[in-house]
Amino acid sequence: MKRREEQAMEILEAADQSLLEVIDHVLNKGVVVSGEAMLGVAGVDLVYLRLSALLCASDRVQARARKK
Amino acid sequence: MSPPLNVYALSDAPPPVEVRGAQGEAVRALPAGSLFALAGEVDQRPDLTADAVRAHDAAVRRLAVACPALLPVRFGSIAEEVDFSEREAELLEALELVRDREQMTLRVYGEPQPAERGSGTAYLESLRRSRSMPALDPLRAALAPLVRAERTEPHEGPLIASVYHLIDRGSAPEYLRALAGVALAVRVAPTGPWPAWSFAPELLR
Repeated sequence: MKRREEQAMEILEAADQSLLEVIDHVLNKGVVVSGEAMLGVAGVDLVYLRLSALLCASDRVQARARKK
Repeated sequence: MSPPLNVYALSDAPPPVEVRGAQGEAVRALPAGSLFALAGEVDQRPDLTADAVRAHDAAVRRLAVACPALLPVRFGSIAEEVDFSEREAELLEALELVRDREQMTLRVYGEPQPAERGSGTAYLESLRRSRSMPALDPLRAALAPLVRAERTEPHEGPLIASVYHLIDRGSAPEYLRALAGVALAVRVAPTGPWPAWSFAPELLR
C-alpha cells in the first residue's frame, strides 16, 4: 500500500484550484480527534508546502489569463 | 470489536434530521461528555483520494446545515470510541464561537517580505507584523461589521498568508461585496462560505 503522503502528493499534483481549496480545509484544518488522523504531522507539513506552491502556481496562471 | 467510526464533526446537540455520511451511511451522534461526535460506521478507513476528500467535505457541509454549532473534524479521523474529556472546555468554547457562523477563506498574494536581521526585538517585531499583516488593515476596516473572528496564517513565498474570517451564516454575499470594494497593495482571492474548518481549538493557539 502506498504511503499516505505519496497518495496526498498524487492528488495534489492532479488537483484543480477548487480541489486544492477543499484539500487544504479538509486535510489541514479541523479538529484532530484521534492520533490516527490520516497524515502524521510531518506529512501535513509536507502537503502544506506543496499546496502553497500549487495555490501560487494556479493563481499566477489565472493572473496571466486576466492580463491577456 | 466495534466497527470503526469515521468522525465528521463535533456538535453540542445531535442533528435534528437524518444526515448521510461520506459513504452514504447514516451519521450517528455519539455522546461524549456534553459534546456529540457526529460519525458514521464504515467498513474501513477511507483511501486518500480526491473523491473521498470531496465526499468528506460534502458530509461536513450537510451536517453544518443541520447543526447551528459545528466544528468540522479533519479527514481520516477514524476512531473506535471518542473521548474529549480533557479538551471538553475548549471545544465547547469553540462551538460557541462558531455557532450560527461560517467561514470565508482569503488567500493573500504579494511580495514576500524578507525577515529582518539584527536585534531579537527587531526580529520579533517583524514576526508580529507578518502575523498581523498590516497590509490587510484597509480590508479589515471594510469587513469589520461582518467579521466575528479572524485567524491569520503566514506562509512562505508569493502566497504570503491565508486569512480566515468567521462571519454570520448567510452573510457571504455581503462579505464578498464589501471585499470587492477594497483597494489593497496585495491581491486577495476569496473562497467560501465554508464550515468553520479553521476555528478548531488546536488551530487557534
